[in-house]
Amino acid sequence: METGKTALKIENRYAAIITFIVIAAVFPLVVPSIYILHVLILAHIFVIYAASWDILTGYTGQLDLGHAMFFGLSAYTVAITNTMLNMPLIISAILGVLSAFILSFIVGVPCLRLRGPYLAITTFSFSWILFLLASSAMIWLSGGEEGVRGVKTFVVGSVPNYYLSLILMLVCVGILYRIARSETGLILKAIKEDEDAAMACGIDTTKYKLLAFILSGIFAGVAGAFYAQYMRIVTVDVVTLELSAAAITFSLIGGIGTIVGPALGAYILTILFEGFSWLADYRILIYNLIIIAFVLFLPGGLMSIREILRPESGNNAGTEEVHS
Amino acid sequence: MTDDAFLRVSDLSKHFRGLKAVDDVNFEMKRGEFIGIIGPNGAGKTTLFNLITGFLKPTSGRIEFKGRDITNLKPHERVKLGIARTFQVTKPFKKFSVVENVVISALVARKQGKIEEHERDFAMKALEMVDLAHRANILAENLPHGEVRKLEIARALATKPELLLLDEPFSGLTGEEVESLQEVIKNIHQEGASIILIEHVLKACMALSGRIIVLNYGKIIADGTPQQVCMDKQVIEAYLGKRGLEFASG
Repeated sequence: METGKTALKIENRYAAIITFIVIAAVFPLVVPSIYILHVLILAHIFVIYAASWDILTGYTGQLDLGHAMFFGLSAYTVAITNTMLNMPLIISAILGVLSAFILSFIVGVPCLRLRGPYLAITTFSFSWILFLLASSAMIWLSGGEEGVRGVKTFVVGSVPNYYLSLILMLVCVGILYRIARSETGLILKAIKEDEDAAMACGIDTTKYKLLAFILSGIFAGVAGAFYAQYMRIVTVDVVTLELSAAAITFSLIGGIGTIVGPALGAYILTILFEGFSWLADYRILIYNLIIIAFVLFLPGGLMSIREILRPESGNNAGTEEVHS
Repeated sequence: MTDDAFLRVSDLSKHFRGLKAVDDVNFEMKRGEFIGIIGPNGAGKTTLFNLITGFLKPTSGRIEFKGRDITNLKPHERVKLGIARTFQVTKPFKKFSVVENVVISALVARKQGKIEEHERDFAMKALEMVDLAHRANILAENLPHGEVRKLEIARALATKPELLLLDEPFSGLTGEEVESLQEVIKNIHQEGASIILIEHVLKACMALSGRIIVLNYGKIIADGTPQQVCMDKQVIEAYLGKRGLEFASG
C-alpha cells in the first residue's frame, strides 16, 4: 500500500517534469514573441541562481545574504576577459565559473568557523565589498553603471538562446536536485538541523559545509556566466543587494530546502517583474513584502501547500522523499 | 606497545578565562568498564565530556584512546575511532523522522566500513536496542522527552561505538521512564560497550556503575566503587550530604 503510493508519487513527479519539458519545448513555436522569450530566458537563469542558493542555505542552513557575489563575479569575469582580453567566449565562460568557485572558497573557509548571524553578516559583507569595487573603486574595470559592453554570445537570437537556457536550467537544477536527494543531501540537512548533533554522528561538518559553499558558488557562477553572454552587457546590477535579496525571495515563495520550490519561485517572480515592467520600480518593496508575508503566514512556501491541505500526511514532511 | 588502558586521561585541564572548569584530571578506564561521574553543578562534568569527545580543546593535558593520542582529533575523527556521546540538552534532528535521525549515524558508519548492511536496517536495530522501533516513522519533534533521550542513545549506538558517553540521560524523566532507560543502558553495557555516565539521578547511576568518579571544582575528589565513594567524607561534604550514607547502607 505504502510503496504503491510512493510509486504513484514518483510517477506523478515524472509526469509533471515531462509535461513541463514538452510545453517548454514547443512554446517558442506557439508563441514566437521575442519579448516573452526574453522574459523566459531570464527566468531560466534565475531558476539556476535560486536553486544554487537553496543548496547552501535551504539545505545546509548556512544563511547566505550575499549570494549575488557569485553570480556577479562570474558575469564580470566573463565580460572582462571576453571584451578586454579578447578571450574566446568558451574560455571566458569557464573562467567565469572558476572565479565563482574560487570566491566560494575564499568566502567559505572563514565562514566554516561561523554560525548564525555572524555567518550571515560575513556573506553580506563580502558581497558588499564586491558591490563597492564594481560601483566605485574599480570602475575603470567594471564600467560602473555603464557596464562592460559587447560580450559575445554562444548563439544568436531569442529562440536558440531560449533552448540553450532551457537545457542549461534542466541540467543544473537536475544535478542540484539529485545531490539534494542523495545521501549527501541528507547529511547537509542534518547539519542544518543541528551541527553539534551532526558532529556527534561522525559527520565531518567542515568538509560538508565547504562542499555546500562550493556547489552553491559554482552553480550561481554558471547562471552568471550565461547571463553575461546572453545580455551582452554586465553592469553593477549583477552584484547588488537587490539580486541577493532576490535569491531569498524566490526561495521563500517556493519553499526553502526543496530545490524545486526556489526554482518555481524564481520562475513566477521573474515572469511577474519582467512581464509587467511597471512593477520594476516597486521591486524591492514587493520583495520585502513577500518576504514578510511568507515568513509570517507560509514559511514553507508554495511547496508546503500540499502538506497543509493533507495534514495527515504531514508526519514525514521534512524528509519523506530523501531516500527515493 | 603493551598498554591495557582503554581510555587514559592525563593531567587534563580546561580553563575558561581563569575559571578552572577541569583542573588537572587523571584517570584510566579499562575496556568494558562502566564509570559513573557525579558531582555538584558546575563541577566540570560536561566540560570533561566535551574534552573527551573533542567538542572542546583542552588548555593542557593529554587524552589517549586505545593507546593512541587523540588530544588533537576533531569530534568526527573520534567517532570514527569508536567514541560516541549524547547531549545533556537533547539535540534531535527535529524535522527528521525517528529512524532517519539514526540513519545519519549509520550512514557515516557504513561509509567508514564499520558496518556492511544497509544503514536503514542497522538504524532499526539500534532503535530496537532502545525500545523505540515502534516509533520509527514519526517526526522526532513529536516524541515525548523520555523517548528523545532514547533516540539520542540510538543515534550514538548507530555509530558503532566502543566507548559511549551519556550526559545525564535520566534528567527530566518520570520514574517509570528512568526504570525503562536503566534497563536499556544495562543491556548496552552487557552487549560489550564501555560506558561513562554523568548523572544526577544517583539511584540509577549507583545501580549501573561499577566505579564512580566524583568531581568538584574541576578536580577528582574520589574514585572508587559506589560503596567506597558513598562513605568518603569529602564526597559527603561536597555533594552527597546525608544521601551518601543511605546509598552506602542500601
